[in-house]
Amino acid sequence: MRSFQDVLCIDDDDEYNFLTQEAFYDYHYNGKLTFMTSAEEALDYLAELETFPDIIILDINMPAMNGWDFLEKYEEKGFHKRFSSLIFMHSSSVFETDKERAARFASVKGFIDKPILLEDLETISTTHFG
Amino acid sequence: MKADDPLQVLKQRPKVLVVDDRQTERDIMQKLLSKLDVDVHTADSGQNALHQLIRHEYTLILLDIQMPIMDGIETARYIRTNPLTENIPIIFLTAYDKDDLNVLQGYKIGAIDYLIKPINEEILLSKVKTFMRSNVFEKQKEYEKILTELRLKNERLEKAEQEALVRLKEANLAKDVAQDAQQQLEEQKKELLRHTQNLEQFAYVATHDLRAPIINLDGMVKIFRKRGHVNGDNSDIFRRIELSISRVKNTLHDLIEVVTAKEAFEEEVEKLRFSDVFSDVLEDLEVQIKDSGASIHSDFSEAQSINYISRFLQSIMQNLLTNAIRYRSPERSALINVVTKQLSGSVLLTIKDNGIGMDESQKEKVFGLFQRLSKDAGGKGMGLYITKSQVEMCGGSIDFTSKPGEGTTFIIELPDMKRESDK
Repeated sequence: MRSFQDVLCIDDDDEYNFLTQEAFYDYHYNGKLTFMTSAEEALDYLAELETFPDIIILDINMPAMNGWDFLEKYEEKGFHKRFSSLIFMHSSSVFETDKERAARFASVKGFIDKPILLEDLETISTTHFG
Repeated sequence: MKADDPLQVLKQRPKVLVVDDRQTERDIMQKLLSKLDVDVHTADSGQNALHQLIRHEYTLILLDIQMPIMDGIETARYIRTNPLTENIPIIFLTAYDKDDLNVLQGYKIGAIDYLIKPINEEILLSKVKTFMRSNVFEKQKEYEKILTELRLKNERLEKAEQEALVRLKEANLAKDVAQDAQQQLEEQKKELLRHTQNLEQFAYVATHDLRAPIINLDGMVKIFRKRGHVNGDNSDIFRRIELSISRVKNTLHDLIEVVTAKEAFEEEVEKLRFSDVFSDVLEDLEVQIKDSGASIHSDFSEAQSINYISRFLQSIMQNLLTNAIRYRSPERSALINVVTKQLSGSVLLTIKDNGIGMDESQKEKVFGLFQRLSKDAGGKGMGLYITKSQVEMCGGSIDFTSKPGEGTTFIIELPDMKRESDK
């Protein structure tokens, strides 16, 4: 039995989502894996849920509503109080300023450099679900 | 009005001094001379005459020779010894026309003329007029001379004033020109800044926007190989695809380094052990080192650690080590020595190789952007530019010594970036 069983990936890049899927495949993940290609869509999706995903992998750079905007709305709606999803910021270029910004959101547990690899999933598993 | 105004003195009526001990004689003289346009002053003795001469400027002195106590001759002698009065003409007045001795004595002290008493009115007036005329003439000449001088002075003043005005105009013009130039310069500066910012923005967007699809491409190709689609016929072309992607990836990585080399944060400074950072670098370069057969020695015993930015120190070491391997000599196996030395407030990092070396005159080029000295070594011409930026960004310096065919030694001074709050 794997540690996390429900994952939501928010990224506008379909090709990239294919790679993420592959990493989970390598990890022999057999839980629920959902992809949303916009932050708005993801918020709508979450609003309908009874239970939230264990993990949300959130791309920073997205058109219209980006990762940060998503986090603002997430807290505005009080999701962070009702559910204990672990959010991981995901980007091809992580800056120091991004880390400082993320510290303001309690739900954000870490950063993952793109591309996400099998090792990243193993690390999350041992660190947060060990 | 100023007393020493030369024109004022010249405009006054000429003064004549009559010196005689007898009242009647003085009255007669005054009466006779009143017919001329002159002021007549009188003195009743030689002493009084000398007193008067101190106070007034006389054009002519009429001097009686026969006077008690101080006679005319003695008075005249005194007059002649004073530089202020020595040139005033004197007409002696004498009662005896045969008094040759007196007359001669009179001439010896520079008298100009004499008159015999009793005074003949016509002769007196004629002689006095002659002196006055000559005096007026002299004065006129002097007056004109002074006027000419004044005119010249005025002309010079006017000229000087005009020149000053011209200079002022020129100065104002120069000032305007300078101000215009200054303004133009400021505008150019602003323009340049705008361009630089645009360029930086462009580089930032371009590199980051390119990065996402390259990551995708790289990932897809890896999956393709993993799934066993690479075989026989397509393995060569696939290998070339992978190589090309890897080149784009590396170039992009370096470009991002160039763009972000200008960003350093105080919070990033941490205590770093050279041996830790170096072994990370060796791990990253494992394949290259193995393929090249390079033997690498390091000695960090003298300076073991430094407060620095990890990603910079790693990048600096990695770039210099990569260069040392890339530009190794084909004639001998590569030997690379990495040593640290403690200086006060900084650490000297030395990376020495026995590679192909380079011409020291190419120094500018070596540290320039997109500069490569050799076309077959596979560099992208960004490494040393990045290294230099990362070193200088943190207040350090980088230099090298090199001999073609013998090797190169890079010397980097890294300042210990101890945080202000830790001091």
